[in-house]
Amino acid sequence: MGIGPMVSSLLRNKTGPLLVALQIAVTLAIVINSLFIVLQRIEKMSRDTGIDVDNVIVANVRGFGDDFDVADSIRNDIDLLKSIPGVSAATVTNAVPLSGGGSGTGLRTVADETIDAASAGRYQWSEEGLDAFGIELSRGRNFYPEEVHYNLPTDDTPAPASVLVTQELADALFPDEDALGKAVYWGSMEQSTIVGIIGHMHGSWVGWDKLGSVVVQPGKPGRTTNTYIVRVEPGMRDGLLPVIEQQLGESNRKRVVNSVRSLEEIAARSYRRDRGMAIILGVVITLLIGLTALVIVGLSSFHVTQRTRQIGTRRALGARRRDIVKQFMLENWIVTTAGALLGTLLTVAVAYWLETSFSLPRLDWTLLPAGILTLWVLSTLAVIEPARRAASVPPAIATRSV
Amino acid sequence: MLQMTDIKKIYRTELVETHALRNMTLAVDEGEFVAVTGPSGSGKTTFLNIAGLLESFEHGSFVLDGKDVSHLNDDERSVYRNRKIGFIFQSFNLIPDLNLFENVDVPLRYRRLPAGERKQRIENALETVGLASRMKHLPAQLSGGQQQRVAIARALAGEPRLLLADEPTGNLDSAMAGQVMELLESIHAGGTTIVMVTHDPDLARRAGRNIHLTDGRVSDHHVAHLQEEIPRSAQLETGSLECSATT
Repeated sequence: MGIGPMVSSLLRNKTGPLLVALQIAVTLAIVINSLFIVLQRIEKMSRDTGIDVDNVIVANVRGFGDDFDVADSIRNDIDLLKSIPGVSAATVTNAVPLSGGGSGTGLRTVADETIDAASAGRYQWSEEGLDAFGIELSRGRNFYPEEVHYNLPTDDTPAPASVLVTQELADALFPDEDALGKAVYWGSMEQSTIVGIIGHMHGSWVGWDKLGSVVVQPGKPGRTTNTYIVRVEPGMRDGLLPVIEQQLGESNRKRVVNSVRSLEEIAARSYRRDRGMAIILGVVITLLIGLTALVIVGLSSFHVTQRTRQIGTRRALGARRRDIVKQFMLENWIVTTAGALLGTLLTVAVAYWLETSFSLPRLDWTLLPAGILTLWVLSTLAVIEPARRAASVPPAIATRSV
Repeated sequence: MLQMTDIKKIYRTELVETHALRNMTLAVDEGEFVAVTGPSGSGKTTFLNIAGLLESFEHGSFVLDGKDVSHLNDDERSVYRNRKIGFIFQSFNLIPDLNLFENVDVPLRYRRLPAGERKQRIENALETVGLASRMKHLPAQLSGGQQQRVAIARALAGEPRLLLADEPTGNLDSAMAGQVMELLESIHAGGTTIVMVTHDPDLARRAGRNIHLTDGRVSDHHVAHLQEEIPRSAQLETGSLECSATT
């Protein structure tokens, strides 16, 4: 049977095919837009952080008592941590990248508070900070030990002479020139010099568009609550988590260990909403595709039952089994294609709505042909069994009394 | 045209075997108009199904238009059926979603004829049955008699060597039945071989030969026009059949 008579036939009985076409259209629109969001979330979670996330442990301790010596405690803790077999570097830090909490600042290239500052995450760590995080310096130098001082709450610490900045921040500050060696100004208009460029590193807030914009100053921030970054040999992290907790706990009775966790776990918490969204949308996509397949199977099966005599007549008039299979496949293809065309318009409309209402990025249009192809394949697979059942209708049905 | 020899057809269920045809042997010559009669359950429909290659059989041989079709597979039977046989069904069996043109086109498409030739054949066939002006109508817009004429047009369009009619007037009133019968007679007059299964003795008498079936066997054999000789191939082969010929 040709496409022309088939289309005419479908149009004369349009309710069923129309419902299936609508189902396919809605499925396409939802699946494509959801898939786009899922891919975005996956891409976001899979970004290169610039940090050796897999091998970093974060320990948080809290001192108490009037005679708690913060600097002494930090010194002893760092020495202890570095003495544990399997630990390769350790530092104290003011904030933990990827954790959702930290400090931010604005830097300028001239001491003029009327011009816009470049926003950045602000970190403070020792000369071992780069090693402790597994961050690579692309140019310039690391901090010298003599540049790193304890920064206690009671101190009136001046702006550091040297800072490290990420390439992203360097480009924002000095888009047309090399930032290395250049002076930058803090909000207080105090000056620091960029002595090193970090190739790439993520800051604390994973949803921030300036996530890769980071400035690091030398120092050992000492507060009542302190955070240590401990880098371990590959494969030893999980085994060392309880060891570090135990040894820190036993070494100093004037402070307690709040937590010892992997940076991977901390980062995962920051991305839990993205992960949750990706999982929910993934389930929706799967259910919707499954439902659409069931609708196609259901309607095709109904058509086979409804048209048993007609199929028998076609067989009696010379249709081979494969002609019947082809007819059902072709009918299904026409309905799917009509649904896909309608779905394309619907997809564009939904994408536009998401883009304008929720500031989502523009849809990746390459998903559309992939989605249509997937639905074609899906609908073809869904109709195979009903079509085979139709083909098994014997031609002798045509001569049976109603 | 049609030579069945010692055909057996048995329908089996888990508990019962039904012998629908028992050692049937008969022949129909080219250009004959044969009526097959018999009570319900006598094997008329089974005979028609086997003659039309709609069903296979257990035993015996069947030669149709010079070709032994006893061992054709399903695809080969479909192709041969499409080329050689035209069907007219009691319930017309038109496809309700297709208009008359498209209905008549169905067997021609399966033959993969070029569009131009198909169009010509469809128009000629609908012209022959007097429905050329209604080719865009749907079957539901026609009377029963008109629908059966469309079914005849569908059968004719394929220019079949054999026309098999299954109670062609069974669902029609007498006036329409008469029109359809006249149409079949005119088709037969044009040289087409017709085998018609019917309950109606009046219709059977209008055929050139009448074969009566009982319990899956040819039980009676009657040539309507006494002045004609029984074709040699139509004569019963005594010994292989439990039947008698009456002339």
